[in-house]
Amino acid sequence: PRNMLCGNTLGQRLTSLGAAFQHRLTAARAIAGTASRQIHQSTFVRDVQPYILPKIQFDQPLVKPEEKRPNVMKIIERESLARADVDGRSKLFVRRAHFKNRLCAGDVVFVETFNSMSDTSATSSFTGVCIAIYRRGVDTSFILRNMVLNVGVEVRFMAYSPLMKRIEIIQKAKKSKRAKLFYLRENPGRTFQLKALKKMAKSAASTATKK
Amino acid sequence: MIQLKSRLNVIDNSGALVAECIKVLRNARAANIGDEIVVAVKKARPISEKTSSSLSAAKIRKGDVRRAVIVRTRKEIRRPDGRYVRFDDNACVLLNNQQQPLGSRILGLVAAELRFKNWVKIVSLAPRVV
Repeated sequence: PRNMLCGNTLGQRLTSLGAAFQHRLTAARAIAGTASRQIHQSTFVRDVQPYILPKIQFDQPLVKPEEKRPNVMKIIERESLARADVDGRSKLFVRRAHFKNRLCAGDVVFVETFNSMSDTSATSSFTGVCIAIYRRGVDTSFILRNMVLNVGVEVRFMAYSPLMKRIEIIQKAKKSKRAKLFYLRENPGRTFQLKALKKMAKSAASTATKK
Repeated sequence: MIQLKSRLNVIDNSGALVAECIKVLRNARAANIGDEIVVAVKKARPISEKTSSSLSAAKIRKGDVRRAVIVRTRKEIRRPDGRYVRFDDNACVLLNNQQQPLGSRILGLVAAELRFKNWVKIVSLAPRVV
């Protein structure tokens, strides 16, 4: 079905756009190459690109077979999401997935992030209860809440940031009747009592050492 | 976003407990984590005869006016990679005129922004940095 759309004018335009983009990209890469060579000469830093270049992975635009007149912006968003979706974490944010596979409000989540892109060995981790999920394509984010030294800390992570190493659900919540659990700030209930916090910390520690 | 009249918890062992912002030392209305402010101490730990005789760090009384640096805010702050961090309260650490912490210990969590704003001593004293 995708090959059939090749004859479509939109398909042609998109492929030609893709080709033009690729041409400009090779030119940009050449400039980046000379820039990085200059960096090499001055600071002797190896393998540092001056900026992150997206890898073009799609020869054909990601059009679904049922879309007769595809929307270009939708396809571009879909492609940027597919490009950013390393290790398949988009499965956590699919709305219609099974309850046990997708990220829900109320789950205990362990997140590991790189501290910088140049040194991928240094990581920091954060565990917490997911109190909100914002599904916005590539800008998908979620908020984790935890008590650290008796102070509540909330961190909002961008799911497809290249600094995110991995996202793991360590405890599934029983179905909450809400999508946003902001009431936990005033009424923590059993979620943030000492016993629950200790259990969270223990399972986070075991997840951290697992990989 | 701490501005005039904002109350902050003081999380060092200087003796103050609650401080109120009376001046933001920036050409702006509100201050964020890592900014210096002038505070008036609203609540302090009682100073008994015993403690006043010992050479403790500093004797902060209610009504003292001191400088402070903000270490936690309830307003979320943005990190360069798009992350946002928010704490459940506003907290500060009292400083002397040489921008050194008045207390000798920090009793709580501080934000990592302090490291990038050159509050090295506070970050090293803090038990936990997020």
